[in-house]
Amino acid sequence: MSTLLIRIRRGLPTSVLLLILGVLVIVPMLFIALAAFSSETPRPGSIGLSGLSLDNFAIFGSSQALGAVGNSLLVAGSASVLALAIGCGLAFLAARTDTPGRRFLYFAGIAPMFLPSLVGALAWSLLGSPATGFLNLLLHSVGLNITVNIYSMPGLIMVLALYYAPYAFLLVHGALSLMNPDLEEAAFVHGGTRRRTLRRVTFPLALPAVLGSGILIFALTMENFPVAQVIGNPAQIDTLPSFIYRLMNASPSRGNEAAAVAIVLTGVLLIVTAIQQRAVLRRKFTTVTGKGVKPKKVPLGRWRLPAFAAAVLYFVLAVVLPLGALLIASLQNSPYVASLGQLTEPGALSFYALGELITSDDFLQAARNSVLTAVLAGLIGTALSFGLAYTVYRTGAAGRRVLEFAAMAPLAVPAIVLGLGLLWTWLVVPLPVYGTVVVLIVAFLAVFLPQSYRGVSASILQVDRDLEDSAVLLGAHRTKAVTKVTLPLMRVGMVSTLLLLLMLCMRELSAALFLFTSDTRLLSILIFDNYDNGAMQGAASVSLLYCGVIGVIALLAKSLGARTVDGAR
Amino acid sequence: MRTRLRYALTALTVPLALAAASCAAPPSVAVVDAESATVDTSDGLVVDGERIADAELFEAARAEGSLSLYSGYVENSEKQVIAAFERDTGIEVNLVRLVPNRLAERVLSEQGAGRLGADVVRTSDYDIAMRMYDAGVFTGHDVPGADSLDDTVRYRDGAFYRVFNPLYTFAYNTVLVDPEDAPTSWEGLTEDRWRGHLGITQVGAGGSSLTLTRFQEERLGPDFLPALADQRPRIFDSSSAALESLARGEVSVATAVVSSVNIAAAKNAPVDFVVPEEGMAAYDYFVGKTTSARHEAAAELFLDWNLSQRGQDVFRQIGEFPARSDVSPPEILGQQLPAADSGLIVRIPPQELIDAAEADQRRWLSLFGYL
Repeated sequence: MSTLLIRIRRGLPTSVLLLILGVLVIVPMLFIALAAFSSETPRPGSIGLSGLSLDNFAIFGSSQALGAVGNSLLVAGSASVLALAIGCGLAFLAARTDTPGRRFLYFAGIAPMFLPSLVGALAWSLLGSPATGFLNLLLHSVGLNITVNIYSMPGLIMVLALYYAPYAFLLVHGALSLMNPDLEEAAFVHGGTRRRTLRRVTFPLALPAVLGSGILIFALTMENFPVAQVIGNPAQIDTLPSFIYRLMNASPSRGNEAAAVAIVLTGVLLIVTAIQQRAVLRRKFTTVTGKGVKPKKVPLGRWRLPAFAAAVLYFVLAVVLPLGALLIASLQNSPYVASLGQLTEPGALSFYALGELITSDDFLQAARNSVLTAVLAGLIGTALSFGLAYTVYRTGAAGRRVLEFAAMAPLAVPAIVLGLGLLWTWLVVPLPVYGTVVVLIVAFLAVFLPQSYRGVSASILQVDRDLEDSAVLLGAHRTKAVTKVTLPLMRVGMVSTLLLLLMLCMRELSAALFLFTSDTRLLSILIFDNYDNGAMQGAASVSLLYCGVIGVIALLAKSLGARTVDGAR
Repeated sequence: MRTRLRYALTALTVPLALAAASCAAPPSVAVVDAESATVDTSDGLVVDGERIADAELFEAARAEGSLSLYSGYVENSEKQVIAAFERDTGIEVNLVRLVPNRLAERVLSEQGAGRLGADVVRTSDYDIAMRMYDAGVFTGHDVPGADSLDDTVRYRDGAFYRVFNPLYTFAYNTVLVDPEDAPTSWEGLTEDRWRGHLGITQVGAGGSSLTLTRFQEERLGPDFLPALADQRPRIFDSSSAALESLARGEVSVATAVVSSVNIAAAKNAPVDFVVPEEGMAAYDYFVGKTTSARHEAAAELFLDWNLSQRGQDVFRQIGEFPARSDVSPPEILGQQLPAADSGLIVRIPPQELIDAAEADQRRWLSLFGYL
């Protein structure tokens, strides 16, 4: 009898987590699966299992669908490699080298996160459109006959890489700065050269973070819709998300085929995730132990300045130029510019529109909603992820693999499709959630679960479980051991995850697209609506203020996080 | 950290100070002159001498105080309509705006769950309106003078009404193209000089694109679209995106909607539209009161107002073609638009459009090599 009770007690946390994941992730995906195999999109009141068929998958016989698959793989693959190169390079420079201005390097590494990819894409279309892009006007005004065309495959890859590099930076920087120097020192003591130590010890230790962020970036760029739409569409380059979007937006809507495409995409990415899981779970990557942490710096010698210059170049391309373009666009009194000189004429620029916007009800309400949803989703998401990661990596609970798969699954579902699944779910669930901010929080929790789970689990993998067990051995209750030992050791990872979640939620557009109502509009929705309506100036103005709001949140979060770290020292 | 915050705040004050210093409004033109109408509410709602609602309906609507509108209409235009309505009636309109296809998803889902939040739904596309009608979204309502409205305006016993028609034509960038040199006909777009300088919107963008395609096939003959495809136009996903590119000078000439050109020009975009010799396509916008309306009187008043002389005039000022035949066509950007019976405003009957949709779409996609 008592063993049964213990079993129930042991199984309870897992069951609760499973239930939460079920509502957040599995039910919406079932709706999508149902849509993929039916001839009608499922709607409350008309849900049935009759008429199931594979007809929707016939779309993969079309050259367009296959072209979109090919483009997606090429774009996501190239963008991930480029983003990893940028992010890991910067992380290494900032965490482990003597490059000057390391605080700036850290800032340059995460600053592009203040610019959601939608904003980055809008800004780059202002900068690099072949006819009137600001960069081209500049090049032509100094007599250079070079035309930058952002509406191209390299342009698409570059914009994606610029704005997804910070994901690699954050995760890899965390791993590199928490690394136990003992291992490297051991290598030195045994005669290893610096280069050899880096290659054989340091980089392999950072591998889980690199792999994790690589898969993350691959999945995110593969499902990225805003950049594909703003940069890829004018170049007539279709990717799977823009293909899905067009199917959804076709007249009449082809939601079933879109769901079929999404299902295939989900399947592919689940396989990728599974491969990566095996790689991470099979090996032990303990780098944080009870001993002091003070990794050594690598002297770069004559490469210090070039390294610094490369970081500056990235910062200029990802942040300075785009913000400048947005600022000019939001001040322009006419959308048409023939030369840069035209902008200096009296009356060409005015803060009027921006001033109007910042005081408008639409903007203020959207800003309030965005902050509220992001903060709540961030806090709840981090807590939930800790629960999940702890159960998966620290307990022998049955069904932990299921938990992990459910947590990682949204990674493979385009946010726009998951948003639709969530709409159907919350319309059917008899709770007054739909049409409120709560449903947006639920959506963000679901959509960003993989990111927060990945962040927290990377961090929990680095903390030696012996530390917590020692506390229990010495008489502490398990809860106390977790709160006093494990959590404080994970603080950098937890704060990074919270920061990441805040950013992601602030930036998210696609998931909210079907769920907002007039009084629960978000800033991202406001920007997309403006862009969608051809109001580029409005889109640029909101984008600029949006980056401001995100920047302020980042500063607050950073100062909060920094204090936790300092206080614990 | 604290000093860094202070730096950030200092940095923020610079643009704010600049904003305070140079806030001159750009020279823009108000599209809708909402203030010009004289409103009398002593006995019902009377605007410019036209009685829109009797005292009973008006008071009931005022007591409800607000209504919820789900609309697929261009957001800025819908807001101008709402502003005029709110000014006339004092009733607040809460707008949920989505592009028609997504609006349809949303409305049908909410309707299926018995939780439709809208009192009034406005959408383009007869097909979408009929799907909503079949799902029981709309309930019949007779606007004043309903009997005099023919069956191209009043549908299914007043379940929904055609309110206005945006006009689909082409426009040019007035800096890049001298008005003298601008093309004056659809055929003119196939001249060599426009090769590589044209922008068009893809056929799947919605009912507007399908209407334009049908118009081109019917009016301009089967050779027009292939000739247009030979011009290697840049293809946009939505007409708004095409217009934005036109304003920025990325293309010189693009297919565009008159009202959108009107609004863009009011915001200093160097764009103007053409009334082509062969005419232009007019696509439909419908509005209806919902079965689940919680603000019934306000919803009815909104419909009545939409189809009144006053409401129709607001759409006219935006640049749309009014549905009521007794309201004269607008003058936009100094051009008097042709009358409904001039043969230049081509409205395709809804059923004809639906029947031809699939074949038109297929042909267009294969001609332009698009998704």
